[in-house]
Amino acid sequence: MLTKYIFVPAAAAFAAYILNKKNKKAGATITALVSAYLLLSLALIYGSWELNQSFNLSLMGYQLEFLMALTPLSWLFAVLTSAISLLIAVFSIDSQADFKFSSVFNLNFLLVIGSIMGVLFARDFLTLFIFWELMTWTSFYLISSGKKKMAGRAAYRYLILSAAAAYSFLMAVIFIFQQTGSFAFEPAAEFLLNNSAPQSILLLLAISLPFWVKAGIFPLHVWVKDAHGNAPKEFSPFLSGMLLKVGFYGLIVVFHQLSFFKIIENTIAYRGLPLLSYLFALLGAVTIITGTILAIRQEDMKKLIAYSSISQMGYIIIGIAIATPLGFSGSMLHLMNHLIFKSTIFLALAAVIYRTGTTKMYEVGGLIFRMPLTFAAYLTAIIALAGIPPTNGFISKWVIYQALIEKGYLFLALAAFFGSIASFMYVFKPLSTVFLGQLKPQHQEIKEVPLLMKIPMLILIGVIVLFGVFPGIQMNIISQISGDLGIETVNYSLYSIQGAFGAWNSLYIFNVFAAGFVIALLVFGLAKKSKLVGLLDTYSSGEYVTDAESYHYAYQYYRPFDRLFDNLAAKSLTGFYETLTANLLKSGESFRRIFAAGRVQNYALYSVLLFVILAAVGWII
Amino acid sequence: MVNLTLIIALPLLMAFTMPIFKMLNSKLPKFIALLTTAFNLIVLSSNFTEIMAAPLILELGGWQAPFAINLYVGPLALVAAFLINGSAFILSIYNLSQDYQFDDKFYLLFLMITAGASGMVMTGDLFNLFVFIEITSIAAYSLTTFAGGSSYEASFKYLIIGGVGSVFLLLGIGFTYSAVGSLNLAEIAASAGLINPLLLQITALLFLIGIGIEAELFPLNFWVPDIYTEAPTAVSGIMSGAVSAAGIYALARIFFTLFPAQQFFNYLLVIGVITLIMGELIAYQQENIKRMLAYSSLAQMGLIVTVISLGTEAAVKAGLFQLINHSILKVLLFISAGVLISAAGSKKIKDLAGLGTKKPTAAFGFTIAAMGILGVPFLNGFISKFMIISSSLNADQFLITFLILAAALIEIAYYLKVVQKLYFEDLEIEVKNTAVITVPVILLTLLIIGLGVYPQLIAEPLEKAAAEILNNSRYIMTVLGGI
Repeated sequence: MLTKYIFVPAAAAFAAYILNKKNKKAGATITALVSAYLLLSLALIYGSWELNQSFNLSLMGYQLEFLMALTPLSWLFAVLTSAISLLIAVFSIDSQADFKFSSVFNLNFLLVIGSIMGVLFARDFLTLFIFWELMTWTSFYLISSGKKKMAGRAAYRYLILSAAAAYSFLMAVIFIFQQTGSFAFEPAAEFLLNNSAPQSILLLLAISLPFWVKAGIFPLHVWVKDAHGNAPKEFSPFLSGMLLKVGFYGLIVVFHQLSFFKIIENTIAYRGLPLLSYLFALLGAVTIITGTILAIRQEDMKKLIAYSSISQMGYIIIGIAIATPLGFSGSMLHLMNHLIFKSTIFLALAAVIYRTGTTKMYEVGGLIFRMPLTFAAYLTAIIALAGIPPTNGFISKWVIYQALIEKGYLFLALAAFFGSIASFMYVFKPLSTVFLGQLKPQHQEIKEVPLLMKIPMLILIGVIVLFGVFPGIQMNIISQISGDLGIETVNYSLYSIQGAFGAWNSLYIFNVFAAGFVIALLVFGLAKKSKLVGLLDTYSSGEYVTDAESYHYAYQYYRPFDRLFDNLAAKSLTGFYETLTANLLKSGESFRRIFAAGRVQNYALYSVLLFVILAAVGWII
Repeated sequence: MVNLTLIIALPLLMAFTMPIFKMLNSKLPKFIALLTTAFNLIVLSSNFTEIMAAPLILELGGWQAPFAINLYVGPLALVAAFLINGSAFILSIYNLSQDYQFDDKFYLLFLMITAGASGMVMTGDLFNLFVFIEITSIAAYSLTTFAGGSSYEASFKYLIIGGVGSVFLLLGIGFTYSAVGSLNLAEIAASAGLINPLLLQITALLFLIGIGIEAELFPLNFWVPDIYTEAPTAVSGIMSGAVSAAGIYALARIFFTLFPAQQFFNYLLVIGVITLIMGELIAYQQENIKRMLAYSSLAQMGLIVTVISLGTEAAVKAGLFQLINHSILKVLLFISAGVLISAAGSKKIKDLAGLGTKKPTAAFGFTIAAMGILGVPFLNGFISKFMIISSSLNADQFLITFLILAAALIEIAYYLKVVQKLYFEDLEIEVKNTAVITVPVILLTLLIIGLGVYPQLIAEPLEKAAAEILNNSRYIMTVLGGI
């Protein structure tokens, strides 16, 4: 029964909404329980890839078939969805006390979970479209319920972009439906393979458009920053961790299951890669660079991490686009790892926001003394994000580099390296400004977050290190996915992966790092203790400071670097889109002024004119 | 089964006896209106199976058509009559908590407009069509002015345009009569092939203009925004939900049954698309919520005309489904907007901020109706949107499909602005007491979700109505019989 994964969250959503009105902890508790239930029952059906379900419906003269099935790919995404929502729900049991839209939040959150399940299990376009739309709509309300004034505008932009893409999807699948008489994937794939290649490519591009938007790939990334930055703090981890990834799920379906890659196989190629695939990888490279540069410039911690998400999405799309065994495995690894460390980061920041109430980095500082666990979670996560062993982020990036170098894609590899090195810069900024440095006078009394918020962070820290040492756990399911999609599998064991130029043995590296850590600890323990002085005194020399913020080094942290890219960043893509649409929509005003100016004589005249014009047209024809 | 003539006769009778009811008890008129419309719905339902089996022909005065006036109630007329009386019924419930000055006169006109619109869709001859259009319009002119203030100006504009429209219509009828010698619709349809092509074309165009004004087609529709904005909410609702549906019915009757020709379908297609795009573009610019809804109504009318004039069976069905949805959703939008407006004391969208928590029922009604229009899955608009796209692609109209989707996108943009304002922004205002609309909101929400989840509910009438539109020889046969 695959439908239960949709209906249980959906039914629970309304229960959560009603109960949450009575008690603000009820909604998140229900969400946690439902997610745990989903996770458990997904674990039980692991491996039963023959599970499927279908309904026939005759609707207004259309014979429709709704198909659902379990594939390794959808199983993985479903597990990720329920796992991350479990952690977030546990985290948010305590954090929603002061949240005005708490009930609406839990209602929509559960609906998002249910609709993602629908998207994942769908084996026909109509089911996919229905749940995709529901997912978009419910997440629209989630983003809208953010506290800041910009939240509405961000959600609005997100929805319009998604809706435009969804319509292109709808048009393409209905076109295919006219030809094949079915919405199911298999006949569609068959039809597309036998159809003329240019038309098939065009149709598949139209179908993939909503997935590109959701994945936040350049030049459709414009919604990501504001949506992440302004969404409620509990939803940002899910938005960045999971919702973006559903876009990749869709892209993999289009590329492999709808045989996009087979269709373009014989087109013009560059280094053995069809030009269109290379173009996608190139978009990935541009996404990495854009995201990285914009992340470095950000002053708002959530927006900074949002840009970092964009740039990490670039890595994933590169691997998926080149579609070599290593590339695909690397992408899937990175997809999972990004989900893990990005949620950790957002949860850590949510913890900071929960205690301080601000997202501006120069308004906080020195929180390491007050929130050590949060600091530890953030630190582990950014080490993973920057791709430093022995964390999971290193392994996935390593596999992607291997894939790129193996085929000699120099520019792509350069972009990937650039993104990796520069990510040090942007992740270090929140670390040093939020957690290190001086503790603000107004934050002297801050405490670490409550236990229920600590648990998810602790689990995530553990998972980061676990997957950093034993990537074989992830490779197990990934190899099944590769097998299912017809991609060769990569050799791996529990703690090593075979690359193009040798194997990566994470256990060995972990031991080295562990030894280094022990030695450092010893040195620290044996050395003379440093003397603690008042934090402000280090730069005010004991003078009385009234406004600590203006002295904060966090403000315009990387100014020299920013100057390099000032010109580039000023050419904002968002601004370009907005002016374009604004001008387009303004034409409505001119229409109104010309035609509907309020003079009734004119209105009467129009009817005569219409008559004359149509009569003339009829005469000529 | 009850005689269908009552659908027209009873409201008229009740309308003109309204002053007497008022004398008996000042509360009575609003209940009389409610009971009359409810009775009409019962009459329609009791005739449902019969009409589905075969169209009902009611010959007045015992003479056979074409010699006597006849009423023709087929599936199409049934659908339209349901929409008209259904909207009137819902709005009568809304009116229960509304106080109008001169309420006997208001309900007199309200029942008149219902009877007029019902008559438009049930009549079997051209002259009575004209008469019923006049009844409807005259009632609408006067109903508009119940809001006072600048509604007089709006009403006056409508009066002039309506007058111009009547002239066109009457000329068309005159030409038709001179050519065919009969005003019976079936008779005209049967002998339309014999009319001089030039005369036929001129006549059809005269009808296009005359009816186009009622069906809110560009560029004959600029009276609409003023009327919808200035008129009392119930009147805006009935204009949008009932009168425009009757207009579409008349358009379909004339261009599919009387003068079916590809040329006119093409005209309607082009006019429909322009109406759609312009309506949406202008609606996006509006700051006044009722004006926004008015332009959105225009656009929807354009969409319906566009889809129906594609002329395939699937397209006509899609268009009719959209017409049904339009009536349901627009009535809900107008009454919710009406409550929100009176709560905030302003028609400006920006003054409605934060009413989501202060007026939950109305805000919910507005939101679910907006989402229905935008085609969110499991709501009725989703099904009709799917059918529209599917049928227009099937007719190989890529450009039309693209424009319809582009228009839908603009629609999303302006409806969501309002929804976000309602829920996610806040404004410190004193909320005024307003009408209670719980019952209509629940009824309409059930309809919206019901049709979205189980559209088969209306599959049969829709199927038969589409067949009726596309097959005019059957119409002729049923009315004229052996003659």
